[in-house]
Amino acid sequence: MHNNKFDIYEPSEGHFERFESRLEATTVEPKAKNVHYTKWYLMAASLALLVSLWYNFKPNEAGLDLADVSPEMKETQSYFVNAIQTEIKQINLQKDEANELIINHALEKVQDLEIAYNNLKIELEKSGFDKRIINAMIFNFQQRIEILQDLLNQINNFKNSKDETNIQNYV
Amino acid sequence: MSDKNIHIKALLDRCLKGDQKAYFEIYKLYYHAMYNAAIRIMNDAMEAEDMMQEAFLTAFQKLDTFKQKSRFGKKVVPFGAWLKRIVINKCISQLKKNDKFIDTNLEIIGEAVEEEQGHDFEKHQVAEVMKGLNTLNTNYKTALTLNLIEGYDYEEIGEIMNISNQNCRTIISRAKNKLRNNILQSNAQQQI
Repeated sequence: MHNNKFDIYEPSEGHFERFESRLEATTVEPKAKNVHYTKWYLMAASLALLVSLWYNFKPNEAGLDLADVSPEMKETQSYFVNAIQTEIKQINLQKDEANELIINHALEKVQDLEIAYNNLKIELEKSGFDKRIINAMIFNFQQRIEILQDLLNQINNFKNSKDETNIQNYV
Repeated sequence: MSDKNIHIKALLDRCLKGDQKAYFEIYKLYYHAMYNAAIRIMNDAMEAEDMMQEAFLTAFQKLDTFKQKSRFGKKVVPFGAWLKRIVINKCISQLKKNDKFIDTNLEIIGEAVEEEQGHDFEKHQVAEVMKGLNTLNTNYKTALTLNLIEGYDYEEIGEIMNISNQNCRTIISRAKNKLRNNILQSNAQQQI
């Protein structure tokens, strides 16, 4: 489409007609047809359900995980994963109307990092355990933990300041 | 999204519904670039047209696999780039059928990538470069065309030509040297 200055040739005359007749000769059958939409949606929905069930029981399929690198890395990963899970649990316990917004915001950031991590897993497999990718994966976990810790600190500070004002009011 | 992109997207949607006119509109928009990509590899006008048109038909048939929207982590490929890749793949498999594509030798190429002397191919005339490219053997010519003109990187070319990344670098580097020498030589001859 862009004008390449190396595009100096033009097909010989009659190529439009030749293409037209080829187009007619082959039955181009595009797969998406309106009639089947509902059927497809149903199928897609049930498939999605199956996949999500399967995914819950058997996570981390695409690519290779940090844990696949070495036993040490396996330990590192399980440490990170545990830390992240406990922090998320703690955060969810403290969730209320006042802090909902910052919590959601931070969890979104963590989710973005998770997506990036999944890409790294694929890269790790492709590159054959490239050191830079392993480092990036560790850094990714650290970032997630940092975000969650920051968030917890924020929530606690917020709570404390509220408690103080309550006490002051009380006194 | 620019107007042009919206226009193409609308056409592709019509293609998906099997609209013959839309197929033809897409052909009109892209045939020039695709024909040129094909002829640079094929060296033969008839075959280039054949491969180009076949690529269009394949593209229309597989249009449902072409994603216009990005998914998580996946790069969005413009339709033109997708189509061109089909054209190039068709051309290369045709070259293989014609036995012009030498699969042997490739793996023997050693590790040594000669240091490239900076050379500005831009300053040469298009016709001159094209003529020079035609003096190279098919492998060199294909690799260099994909690199310099179509703008693919080593990894992509390796994938297209089914060779390792290292071989790809070596071939391109040698092809560049060869092309440079051929062009300089023919210039010198003309001056005499």
